[in-house]
Amino acid sequence: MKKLNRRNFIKGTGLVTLAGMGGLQLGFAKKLTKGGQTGSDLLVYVFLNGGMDGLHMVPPRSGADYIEYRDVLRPSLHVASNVSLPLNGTSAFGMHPAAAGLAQLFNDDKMCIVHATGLVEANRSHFEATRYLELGTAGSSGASSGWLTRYFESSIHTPSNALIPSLVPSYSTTDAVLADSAALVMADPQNFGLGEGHWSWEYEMQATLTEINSQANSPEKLSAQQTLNAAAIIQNIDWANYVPGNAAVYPSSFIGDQLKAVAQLYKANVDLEVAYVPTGGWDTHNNQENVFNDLATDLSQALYAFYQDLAATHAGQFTVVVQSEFGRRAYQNSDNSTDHGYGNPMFIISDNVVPGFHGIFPGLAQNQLFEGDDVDVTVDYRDVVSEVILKRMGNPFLGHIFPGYNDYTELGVINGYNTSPNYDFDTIFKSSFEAS
Amino acid sequence: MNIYKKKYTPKSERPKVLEKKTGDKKFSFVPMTQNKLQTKGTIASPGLIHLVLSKMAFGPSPDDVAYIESLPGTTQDKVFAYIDEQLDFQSINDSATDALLTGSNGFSTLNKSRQQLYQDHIRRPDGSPIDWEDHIRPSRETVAATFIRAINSKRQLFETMTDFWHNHFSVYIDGDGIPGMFTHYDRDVIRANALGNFYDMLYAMTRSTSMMMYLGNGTNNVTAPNENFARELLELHTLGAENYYGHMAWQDVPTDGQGRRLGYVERDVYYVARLLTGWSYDGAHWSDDDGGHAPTGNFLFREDWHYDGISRVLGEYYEYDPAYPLADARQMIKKLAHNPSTNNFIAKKLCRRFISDNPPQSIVDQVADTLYQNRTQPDQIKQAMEVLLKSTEFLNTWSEKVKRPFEKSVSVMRQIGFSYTFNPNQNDTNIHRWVFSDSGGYPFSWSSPNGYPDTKAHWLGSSTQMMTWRYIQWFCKERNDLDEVPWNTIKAQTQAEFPNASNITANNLVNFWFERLCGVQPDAHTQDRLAHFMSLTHSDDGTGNPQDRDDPIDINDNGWPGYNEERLYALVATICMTAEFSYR
Repeated sequence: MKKLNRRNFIKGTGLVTLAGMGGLQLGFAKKLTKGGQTGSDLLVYVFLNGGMDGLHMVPPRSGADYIEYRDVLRPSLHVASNVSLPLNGTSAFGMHPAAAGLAQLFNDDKMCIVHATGLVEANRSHFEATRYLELGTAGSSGASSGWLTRYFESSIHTPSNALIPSLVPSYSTTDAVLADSAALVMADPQNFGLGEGHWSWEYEMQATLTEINSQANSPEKLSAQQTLNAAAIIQNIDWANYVPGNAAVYPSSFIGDQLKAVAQLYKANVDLEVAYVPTGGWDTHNNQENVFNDLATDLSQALYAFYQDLAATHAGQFTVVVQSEFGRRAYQNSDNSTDHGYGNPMFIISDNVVPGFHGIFPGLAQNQLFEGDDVDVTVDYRDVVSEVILKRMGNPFLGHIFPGYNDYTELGVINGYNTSPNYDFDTIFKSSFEAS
Repeated sequence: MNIYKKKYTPKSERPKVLEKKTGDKKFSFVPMTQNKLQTKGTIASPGLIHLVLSKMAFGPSPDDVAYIESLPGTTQDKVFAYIDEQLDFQSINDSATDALLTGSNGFSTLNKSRQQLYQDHIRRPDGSPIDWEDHIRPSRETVAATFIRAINSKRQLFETMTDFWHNHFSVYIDGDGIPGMFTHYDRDVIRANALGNFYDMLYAMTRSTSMMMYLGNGTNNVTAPNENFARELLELHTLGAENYYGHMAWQDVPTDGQGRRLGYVERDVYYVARLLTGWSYDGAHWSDDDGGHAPTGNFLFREDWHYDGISRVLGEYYEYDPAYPLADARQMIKKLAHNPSTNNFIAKKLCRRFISDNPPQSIVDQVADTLYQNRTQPDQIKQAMEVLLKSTEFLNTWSEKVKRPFEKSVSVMRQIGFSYTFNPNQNDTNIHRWVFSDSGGYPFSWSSPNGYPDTKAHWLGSSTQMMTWRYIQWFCKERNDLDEVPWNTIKAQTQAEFPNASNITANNLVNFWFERLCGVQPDAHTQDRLAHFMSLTHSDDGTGNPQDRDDPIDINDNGWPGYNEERLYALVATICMTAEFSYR
């Protein structure tokens, strides 16, 4: 399964500068004021489970790729050039008409698109590709912690007494936060407490269980302790009477509920720094037109509302990254739908994006497709995520977050701190952490 | 993760009972980042009977514990005799459970044929519309039956195996069309083969309406094959993802001593998808009702959709022969079922389910070998399970696993003698669905085809913990609306243990119930906190005014302000939320 390094599109062999830890990171940490203008952003990572069809979301709109797409690859599935929504500064690609909110954000210079991203090594299994992305270990599923777990391990500026540093607004957890007992997995904040007992004993039940688990000598007790501590915080927040900023309207959908919960928790000043938002349904092997239309509508409305909401009070202080485990096959299947593929666009939503398209679209001609089937990958997705981590989150320790990653290449997708990557976290810190 | 969309119901459409807020009670708290694992303690193991009933069954009900204790010989003799009985499940009289699954409890679809299900719940022969409640009825009944069987059945191993295979051949019950056909899948694919032969189950699964609806093979046409089912057949159902070699050349895949390829590449997915073209069901295509034909939902081979060339899968060739139109794909499926990698994959999953997240290779190898040696036997899986259940690895491990939400909830129900009978006609059964579904472990509701995860890490997430606790908290106090009689035997079990009422004290209640529920004694800190709780009298508004922990408590008194009976139920529920209860 191992392939030769295919990262030849944009990668030189350039030397990696090992900026010493030095004053840079410490200086950054000093600048931080919780919730203030110079702190790290809120990072919201939206994961589209199932394999979002990038050629359907951001379809070609002109030129040879459009002709190939319309006439050869997807005669019964394409989004026609007079149907897709126009995007500023380009005629090459448009936006799916159901994603009007995303087109608006793009045209307002609040969202950029990175072409043809993905894992360095192609993998058409949902479960493997997703696991590699969640663990942040391209091609290895044996890691014992997730990429966000290691982000927090190496995030020097995150206060050691942060109340709720990370949130996964979902019913089930994700390997992105594997082994991070401080991650709060919570789908429904309004019911996050022991409130279904007999009225006279509910309060003491929660209190008793909290006391029992106060001495955590097993992973089970520790996770119970975290759950109960989180519940105590959550129950102090008025969830029912939330008024979004800018009169933003979240759609009545799960992704709408999820992003609203992120915004509410962030504004509650509980030190929220990262939200990992899994949202499913994108595996469109059948009935793609209808399924995709609904999903794109929900996603676009929810992201648009989230941007409006937070922009009212936290302009310039949040960044949303949208990714899927892979793109879909360039050509349609017998149900006018698509099977698993490879390269796919990523979206970044922020006041600080460098507007427009980034990366290189490799083309749709037969000889340009990966194995003759899929949009090829020209951008290592880690370069995209890393740029956000460096410039908006101020964490230089890319080698710790993404084990084996040592050749960050700046794409120029976002503006922010001038932080240099450091691949030596383990040798610098690990021993001293363990000693302390 | 959900690769397929989960059903979404807005808050405004949920039943009001769930809208109860957690209230304005303020709890003190500490930051999540400040919590660290302190010294790692040792986890005590319960007695052997409690242990096996927690692992191979849905928890140690007092009846099953008493039954095993009544068997002759040493404890190990008793347990081995029980394992033998459970393996020979057809000999166990389960008529009392069967009697619950009848019309008087609201069941009307469990015995319908595949065609009846299709024509009553998916597509009527006369074309008249089917309302939503009728469409989803078979799925509601299957879930209710699943609860009833898990709680009550004497064939406990058969029920845990059914649960295992449903997760191995996972179908999302709310997927398009599936609710109307799910009874067929549960009964004729999974339950018919749960301790039988793996190939038989695999083949029945491949031909089932539910799986074809779920993974789209019903419309898989050679004009542009749909790879969805083929990929999951290789990755999830047979060889496993660990034997996937991506875009490599097929000749480079490792072989065993007999020249068999032990893994698959993209080209294999390509050919398996073609071999399965035309494998469909009557009704899958829009033209199936042409000429007044009433679609049946039965398996249908569409020759004109089928690939008529030569396929190569794992280096072996299959050629379509019109005289035996199903033979090419069937041979391929049988080869996959019998491949050593498949047997290893299944063995590892079985050991992961019943022993530990990372089971010792020694037992995996024994189970895999038994599966392989008996690959053509009708009781292949039963033989493999005998090896597994009688192994030291199974009998001597504890707390390597945690109960998942369904296992935990049903275990509580079995231990407290939960007597409510799930009934698809009753609103109470609906409320169970609403309260429990937020746990993330509602039966058949993992929307992706890889089934519910089976490792601890997944189930220690805060949402799962809290929402499972809430469910336990809720049903432990539930009563019959008509006569206010509780749906549990907690009081009766207590009084049987303490015939002398003066012995019913806070300390004794905690010690008895903790040991009964968890199989071990509580540590001193836990005992202290639980006994404090049980001693509260609420006779003032400040401290709760605890009474002496060795003073008797009248558990028949349920009046203000102490609500002793409710407090006892709350104590039992709280014990069921501890880490000790979560182990298996």
